Amino acid sequence: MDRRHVTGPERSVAPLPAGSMNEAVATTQAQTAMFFDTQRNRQDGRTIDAMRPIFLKTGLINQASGSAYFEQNNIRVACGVYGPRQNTQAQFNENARLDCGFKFATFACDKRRQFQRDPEERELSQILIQALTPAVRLGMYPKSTIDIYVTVIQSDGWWSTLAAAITCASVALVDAGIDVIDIVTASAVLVLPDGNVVDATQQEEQALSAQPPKCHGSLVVAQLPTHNEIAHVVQTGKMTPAQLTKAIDTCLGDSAKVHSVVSYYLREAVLATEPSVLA
Amino acid sequence: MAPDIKPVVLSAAAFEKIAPEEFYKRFVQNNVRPDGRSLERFRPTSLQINSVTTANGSAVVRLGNTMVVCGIKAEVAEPRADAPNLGYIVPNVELAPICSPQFKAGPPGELSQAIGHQLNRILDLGKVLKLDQLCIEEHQAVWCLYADVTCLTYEGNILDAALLALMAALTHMRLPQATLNEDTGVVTTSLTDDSTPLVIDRPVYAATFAMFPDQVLLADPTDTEEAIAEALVSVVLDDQGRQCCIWTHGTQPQDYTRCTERLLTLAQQRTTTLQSLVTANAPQS
Repeated sequence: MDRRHVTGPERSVAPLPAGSMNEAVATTQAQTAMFFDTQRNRQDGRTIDAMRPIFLKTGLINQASGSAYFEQNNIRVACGVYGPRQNTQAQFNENARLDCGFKFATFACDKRRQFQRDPEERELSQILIQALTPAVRLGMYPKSTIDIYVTVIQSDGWWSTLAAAITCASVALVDAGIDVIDIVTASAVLVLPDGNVVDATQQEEQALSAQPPKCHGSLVVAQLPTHNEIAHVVQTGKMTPAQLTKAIDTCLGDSAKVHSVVSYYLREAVLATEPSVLA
Repeated sequence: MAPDIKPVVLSAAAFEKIAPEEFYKRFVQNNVRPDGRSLERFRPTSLQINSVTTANGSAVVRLGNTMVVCGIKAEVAEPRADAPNLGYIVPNVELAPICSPQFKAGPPGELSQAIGHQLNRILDLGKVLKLDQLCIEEHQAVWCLYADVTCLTYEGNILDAALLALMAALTHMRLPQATLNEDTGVVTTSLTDDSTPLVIDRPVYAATFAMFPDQVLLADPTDTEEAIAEALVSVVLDDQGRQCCIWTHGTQPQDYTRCTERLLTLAQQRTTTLQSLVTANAPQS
């Protein structure tokens, strides 16, 4: 029994949209067909190889050492970095420890989430740590911890949200002035039998994953763009090695585009505050 | 020979850290605060409504550097046996470690619990809205509105920001038309867009003041001001300027009652401003 929150009824469920129980199977085929027209254009007007536009802002949270806000249409992610601060654990560690708290706001997804961190959020925290660690010079901060807190205000597509969170956290690390060897940028694709769908929305993910599983999977790649190195790969579903290679290439191309947006923004931000730095 | 004593020259930042009370006193004497505001001035307040499309209603509130997001999710639940036609509103406030280093990860701390319960009481005792409009089918199904306020950046006065976000989200949210299937016991929402807004009987808004010695009132205190204030007073008024509730925390100066009139006047002005802010911000279509 949760005594720390204002509690409502013991049990509550999200209502179902009318007709969703019996017609669900029949509509998926039609829905998928609906997602792409003959020119492979999507419902929101994008082609299948186009990402949603990115909005980025640093310094949102003035109490944090560094922070960033990342928006891609309906994806809104905020990240605050606290540190490097003292590692309270007794054991000496010559490297800094990265800690990540990944949290969806309770209203961020279609289904309401709980306040307690669930296993999915813990998994996402781990993914974030693994993706960011290659870029951070942990040896510069012995005996300290760097805490990265990510809050998803709204998610639209599980994989795209993960990619957005990785990029956002990396920008927040830069804003905090933490030594990094590169900015980590990430992007997501859905792999279908006849091509890759870049930066899929929630609606697209649902419709496409309801298809008969001929050959279908998802992929998120985080890379260090200027080093031309891959920091992390998350792949699920079924795909052939050839498809995987092609999908990774697509992801690398996309995250390079994300990198150009991020570096342009950061350059402008620095120029606005300290024009002499880049002179 | 007398030792050579040099006067200590402190930077303003160091002075603030070492003697915050004295630091503030110097400012207050000149009727100004360190952030440039006059004593009775609230921080710039802005509002963005229904920008979170996964929620049934939402509001983003910025109160200076305090920023909160309120998202309302409507779910279906069984009504209480003693109130078969009344729905539920469940407000909660989350102060996660992202918004300030003073909050720890894990279960909610005392402040977020306290604010959550204050919001609950305001909704309940303030008769803000009638819960029978949340009824789907008497004795069987009612709406349960989970109104969760997440803080993104924290710089004091969370009650004002949270209540404003909650009120704005409630005012502009829409409930889908729902029907209960008697045979299966499943509640479905219609696919056509015939959602309805809620009827808010009595919108309420909060104005918080920090009290300092000699009847000095600071409106809309930041977290540093909250920490060094003698007392905090939160006045909750409705849109007509009628009192809903008043909270005071801390030791009240003996001449507290003499401030009350001034407090209420300021709170009434503030409520009028907030009410027009909420009604002026029609949701984005």
